[in-house]
Amino acid sequence: MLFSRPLAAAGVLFAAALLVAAPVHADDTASPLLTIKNRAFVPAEITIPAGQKVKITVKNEDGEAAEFESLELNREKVVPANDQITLFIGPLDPGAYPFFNDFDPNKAKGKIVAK
Amino acid sequence: MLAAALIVFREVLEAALVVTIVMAATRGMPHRGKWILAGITGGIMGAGLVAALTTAISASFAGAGQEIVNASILFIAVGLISWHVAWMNSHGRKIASELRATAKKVAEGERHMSILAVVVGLAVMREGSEIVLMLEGLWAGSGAAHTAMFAGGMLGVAGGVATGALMYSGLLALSLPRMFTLTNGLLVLIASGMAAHGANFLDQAGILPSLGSRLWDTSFILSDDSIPGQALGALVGYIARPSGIEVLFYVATLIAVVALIRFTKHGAFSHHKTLAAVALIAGCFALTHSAKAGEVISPYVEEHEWEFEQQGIYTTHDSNADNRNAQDLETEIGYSPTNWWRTEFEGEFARDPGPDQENLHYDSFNWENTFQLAEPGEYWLDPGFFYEMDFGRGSGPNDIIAGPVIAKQIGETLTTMNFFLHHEFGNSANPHLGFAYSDQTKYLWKLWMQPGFEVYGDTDGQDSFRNQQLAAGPGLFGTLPTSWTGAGRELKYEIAYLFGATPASPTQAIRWKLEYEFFF
Repeated sequence: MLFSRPLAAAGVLFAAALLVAAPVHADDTASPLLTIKNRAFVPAEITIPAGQKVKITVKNEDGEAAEFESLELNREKVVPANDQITLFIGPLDPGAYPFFNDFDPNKAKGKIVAK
Repeated sequence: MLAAALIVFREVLEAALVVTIVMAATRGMPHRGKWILAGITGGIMGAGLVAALTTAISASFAGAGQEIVNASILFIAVGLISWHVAWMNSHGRKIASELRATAKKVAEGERHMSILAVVVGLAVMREGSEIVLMLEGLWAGSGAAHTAMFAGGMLGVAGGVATGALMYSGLLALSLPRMFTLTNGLLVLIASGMAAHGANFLDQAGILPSLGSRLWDTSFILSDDSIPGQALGALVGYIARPSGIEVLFYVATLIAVVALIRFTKHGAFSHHKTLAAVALIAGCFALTHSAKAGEVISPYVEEHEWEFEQQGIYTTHDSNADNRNAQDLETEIGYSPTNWWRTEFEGEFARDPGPDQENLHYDSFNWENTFQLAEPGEYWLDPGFFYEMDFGRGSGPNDIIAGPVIAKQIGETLTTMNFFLHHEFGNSANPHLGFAYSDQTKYLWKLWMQPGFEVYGDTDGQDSFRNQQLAAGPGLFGTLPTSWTGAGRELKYEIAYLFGATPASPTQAIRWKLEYEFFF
């Protein structure tokens, strides 16, 4: 049928991608914790190994929600008050990747450095 | 006589309420009496004008002139009331006394009063013209009972004005902060009621769908033919038997105005920014549209996020005269109840390509759902699934669109791809299954500007490639600075210029999208 070729190709591509993209387990020794206190990130700079997928925990110790946002990391996720979330970052090329708290009028900033 | 009294009472009360609230809310502001009187006078004159031109107005817009005029007046009033409420809320309760203090603030107060005078004028004009027109109908049908009708009318005026005065004295008895809170709250509800009323007019004119002519019926509790029912209708927009579109507009306006209030809290109000945001989003209605291809769906969902979206696509140029002037415009409200599901409700307006086509018209009501299937970055690519149902207007087909959406970041480049199957059902449906594929690739240069390109293809169920759709072109994407919108709220834009690669595609088209995201 007329649509079958592009459809089949898309279907195979999608399925293959999911099969190939089995979750790569992050290195447990590099599982950093980022805390949000008074809308700011503590620590403001985190170093992770480059070329590796890393699981980051963001813990919000404030009574109000915060948002972890970064253009370079392509992440935008709300961290609810007194709660924590996990994020997958990477594999990243070596360099510095800034992020900020979009719910903070003063735009508290932070940086992930991949080495 | 009672019928006339009731009609007039309701209309006068609606106008009196707006006047009362404006008077109470502007207590202490200089020259407010003169401004309000000017508004009322202008409104009465306007009402007379509308009534005099009533035949000409009804005949215009293919017979829907009356409804369009009424709806327009209502929606303008909604906009102005929202502006006023946001302004009042931001400047706080002390504004009335402070305004006397400095010349600058007096000037600001004058400008604000002029807006309020227009609000009052619009309210009076609308109610006045409705009174004249409804009474005209009654007059023609009431035979010899003209005196009774006149008496009834006077009774209605007296009742409406008295209720307004009663309300005013009640408001005066409150402390200033309480009074401001109450009047602001009432104005929000009045605005929502006006929006629902405007939607009803557009429904009558056939421009909007009714989405169910009677969602519920509470007339056994309070009938909107009774005096308290009419009063509640004027005050909070109570409708005993609301249609779906009335409920939608009421709720949407309520949410939008409250969001606007929170947006402008704590002195963050700026005339220019607020007007710009409201005008930008509302004004996008004026921009019209074209061929259906128009959006690359992203698999990312953010929990509890609300969004308003306006988008369109417009054929700017086509070598084939039968393919020109196609337009598509969509307006949408969305919410993500969970961190993996986003649902959106959308109204779509369109003009089909070619000469002698119906002008921009309501096309369908769409329900879109996006499912984020994995945590971003968890797998090699970020997968999602999309499912949409389009409910076409009576004469048009319904549509189902579904398929995977994928995003992948490589270095500083983000690629998003959609692969959808779609099929029409119902009146004049295309019997073939279509396959639509699209891509958006952009370089993550700056938050406020990411250059890239888009590709849109659709087989449309056609065997021959010539008859399928394929277009590609450059685009700009970004998020406006949050110093403009405030923390936690984002205004995102997308704009692309697409060049057709097949004869069936528009030779050139422009597509755009504006999205306002916030948390409630």
